[in-house]
Amino acid sequence: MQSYRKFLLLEWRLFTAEPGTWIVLVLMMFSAIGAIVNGVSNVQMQSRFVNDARDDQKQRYTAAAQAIDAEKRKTDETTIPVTSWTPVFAPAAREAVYNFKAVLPPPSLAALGFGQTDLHSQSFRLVNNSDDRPIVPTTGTHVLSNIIPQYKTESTLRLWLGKWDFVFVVTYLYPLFILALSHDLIASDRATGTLALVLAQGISVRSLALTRFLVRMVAVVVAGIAIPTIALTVAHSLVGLPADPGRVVLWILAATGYVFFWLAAALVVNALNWSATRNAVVLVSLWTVVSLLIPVGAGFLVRVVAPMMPNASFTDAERFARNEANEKTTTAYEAMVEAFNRNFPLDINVSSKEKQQRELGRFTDSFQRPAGNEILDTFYSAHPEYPARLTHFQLWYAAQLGRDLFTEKRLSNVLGMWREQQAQHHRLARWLMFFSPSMLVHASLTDIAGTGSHRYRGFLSQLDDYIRKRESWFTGKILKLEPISSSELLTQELFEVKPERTLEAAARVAFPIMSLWIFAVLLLIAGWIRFSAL
Amino acid sequence: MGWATVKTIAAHEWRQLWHGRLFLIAGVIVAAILCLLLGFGCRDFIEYRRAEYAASENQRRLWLERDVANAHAAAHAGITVFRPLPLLGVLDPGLHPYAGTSVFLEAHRRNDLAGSLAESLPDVLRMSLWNVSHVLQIVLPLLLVVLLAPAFAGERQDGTLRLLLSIGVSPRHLLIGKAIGMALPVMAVLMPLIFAAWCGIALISGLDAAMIAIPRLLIFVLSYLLYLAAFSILMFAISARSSSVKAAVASGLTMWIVLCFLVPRLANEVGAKLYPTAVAEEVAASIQSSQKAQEKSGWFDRRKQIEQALIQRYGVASAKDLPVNPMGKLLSEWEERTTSIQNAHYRQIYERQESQHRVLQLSGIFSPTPAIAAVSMALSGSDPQHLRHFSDFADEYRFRMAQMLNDESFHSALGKSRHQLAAEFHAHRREIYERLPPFRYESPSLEWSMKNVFLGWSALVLWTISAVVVAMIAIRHLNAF
Repeated sequence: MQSYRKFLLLEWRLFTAEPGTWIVLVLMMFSAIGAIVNGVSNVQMQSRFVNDARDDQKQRYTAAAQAIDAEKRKTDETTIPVTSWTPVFAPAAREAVYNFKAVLPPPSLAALGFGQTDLHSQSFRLVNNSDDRPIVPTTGTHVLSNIIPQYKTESTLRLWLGKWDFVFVVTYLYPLFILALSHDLIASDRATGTLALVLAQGISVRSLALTRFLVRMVAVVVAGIAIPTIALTVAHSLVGLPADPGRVVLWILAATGYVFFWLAAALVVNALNWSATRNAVVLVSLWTVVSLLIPVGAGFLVRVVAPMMPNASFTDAERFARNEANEKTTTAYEAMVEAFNRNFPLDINVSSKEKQQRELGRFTDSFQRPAGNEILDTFYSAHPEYPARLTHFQLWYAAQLGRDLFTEKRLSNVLGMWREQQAQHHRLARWLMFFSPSMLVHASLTDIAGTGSHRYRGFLSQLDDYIRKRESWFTGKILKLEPISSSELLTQELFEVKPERTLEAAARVAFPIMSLWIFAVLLLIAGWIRFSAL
Repeated sequence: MGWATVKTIAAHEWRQLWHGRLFLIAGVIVAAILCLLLGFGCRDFIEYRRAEYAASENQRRLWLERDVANAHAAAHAGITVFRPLPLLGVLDPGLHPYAGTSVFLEAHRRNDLAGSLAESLPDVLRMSLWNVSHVLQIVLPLLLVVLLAPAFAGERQDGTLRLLLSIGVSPRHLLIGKAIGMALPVMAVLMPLIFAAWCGIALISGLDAAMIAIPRLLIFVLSYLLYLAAFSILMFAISARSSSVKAAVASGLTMWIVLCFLVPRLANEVGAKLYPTAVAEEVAASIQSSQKAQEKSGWFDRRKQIEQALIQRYGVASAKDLPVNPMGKLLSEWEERTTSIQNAHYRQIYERQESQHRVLQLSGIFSPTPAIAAVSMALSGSDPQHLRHFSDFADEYRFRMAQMLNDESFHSALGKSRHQLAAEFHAHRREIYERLPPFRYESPSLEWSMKNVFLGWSALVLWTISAVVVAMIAIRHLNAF
């Protein structure tokens, strides 16, 4: 054992005595740390927007509550006019707090990789009265049609080239660094005759190769994983991101598994007894196949086997649905005006005060809703709890909600088809990634970093829930003509993204990481057997 | 002796390549991949164009049949237009998968292109959007590294180089002969593929369009030949200076990784550091605050001024008697102002993107890959400049639509009731809508495309010339041992 330790140390000294080794290891470390620095600058910016958005929403609620209190001070509580446009009037309170910005906060390991954050808007603005705003399939629901992605300005050129992040460095560059370090485990020694000298010392080829494998594994793990992980942790604490040791462990497991895979692949190629040149060519070819050709092939296969509806077709269908809903809503408005006029006829001979009183009646005097109107029918079928007799203003509000529900109903087929196709797309891609360790590690690291589509979809879903819940509360108040107090307004939840538990992410990436390790161990065994046979 | 020697060497190289298994296998694989990608490119093009054409026609119909209360409501209801895929997109879709396919044109607001292909792809397939140009830019140079590494180093290793030099073959003739001998088989594989690409273009878009595309295609081919020539000559130089094939392969691979992967990515980062992309949230806030400031500074005052001017012009007693609607004029001015505010912001955004693109082209000094990528995208009509051209074109159309409808509002008299106006608009709406011609996007000319990538082209030519110079220096003192 002691002699083996000596041998190991000797190999380590030989390995580190090569200037080429240091060049590769330093390059590896710098490319990784450079990528982390790049990622951290993005995190800082995103954190600022999250804080701004939160403060902005809080201010809106506080200002609305203060306005309600001021109104209460002016009038006796019992005589608060809930039917005119005062701060206590539910539609007025709703309008005061309606708009807000929702920003997806950077995840705890955001500096690890940009993932899809440059493709999907990380910040949305919820705006009222966006009757014509297109619903995009990636955001989906009618509720989210009112959220407008903040002007998306990421340069398409940058999207095309991809950013320099840690995930890219690990997935694409680490194998090349490993290849540079391990394509010549014993080939040159054999060619120059030094191998015979070493073997004469009683050391087997297998032990020699495995020792060199081990030396390289230690060097790569230290320079490429341990040091960058320390840099990552320090960088995260500097920008104030919460520590997430669980995700750090997952990242180390995934990255080490990938490094192990490429070193084991190099061991197998070295065991084939070829020249160093041939080893290098074969390993580069393997890298080309695993990192470039299989992902490209998988991409084509996914698009051929599970084709997606063209975006133009979806947009076309959406525009028709939206147009139909808007036209029907206009008809509903006209029917409501007609019904109001029928129920409360206008006498042109009355005084202007009486005319004003009649106009106020739009907020107070209820009448039977006009029958046979598709938009109002849509609203009442979704909300049978509300009475059919409402005021003109309430009916107008109900028609707006009915319009959104109608659009969603009209789009449900095409949106359902789009989602189904996308789900198939994702399922197939998830299955195909097991053919390429590069795809496995890329998907795992992006998911661990929290910058993938999964977290983005979770964010949209939380936003959708939040808006629905808030709208439902206001709708109840508006349709029951209840005033809003400052205290209940302030107890309303502000939008905040609930972070995903590390265990959930771990459950998703466990199988891909395990597969990486299994591939690596199988290759190691193959290399072991092959070297034993030499 | 000169040309005869070159011919003999070239013929020898040609024969060796054809007989060598490596070239045949690699050639067949690359040709198959290129054919497959070309097929996929054509398929994507047909699908995209079919969907885009159908959607454009439907949206035009929707526009013509739209039933809204008045002209301004029609401007808000807007129209959606679609970005066509340029013809050479079958070879190099460039930024197309990352750019949106449609844009909603409405009053007062310039919207971004929405719905890109990349957005709907699973994360893991983000890097899988490959096409013919990727093979030409990345895979072929790798193949050249492997094929050309033994050119001189192999002869040296086998001892045949000593033999050749001893019989008086000049290193220059050896280089030229080997270059011709290598170039011919590569051309023999590539040329039928180029013809197949042209046939594919003719099949999917008709002979007339394919004929128009010929100059672009020829420059496209010439650019790639320059790129591959630069790589080949450099590889010859590396082989000439390498003591063994192993060393030549190692150096060639390092060169390939640096030139094809590292330099473009680093250039991307340098470009973003020098010209940071405008931050979405900041642009939105800036546009909003500019517009709010404008609203405060005199919406109501301006309305009164317009009314007064019109009352004077038409010699009427009050605004109620005017035969025109001052609101139409006000909306028209408002549209002009908001458009100019938004265009100023968009100009900044696009200028930054174009500066990043220039940095990428400039990085062509360090590697021919970003240079060819820029030239290739420009020729296929899918570089940042082309995207900006489409976006500006669509916004001009939006402005035209909004102003046409504002003009319609202006000429609807004020004296009538809301119902009367709505009834009048309803009766004449189709006639009004037809005043806006259908959206037909005209791609910029070849000259325009090439002007934007002058830097890239220059870098490409420079690389080829430099590669020749380096190769000449490398073989001047060709070492036989």
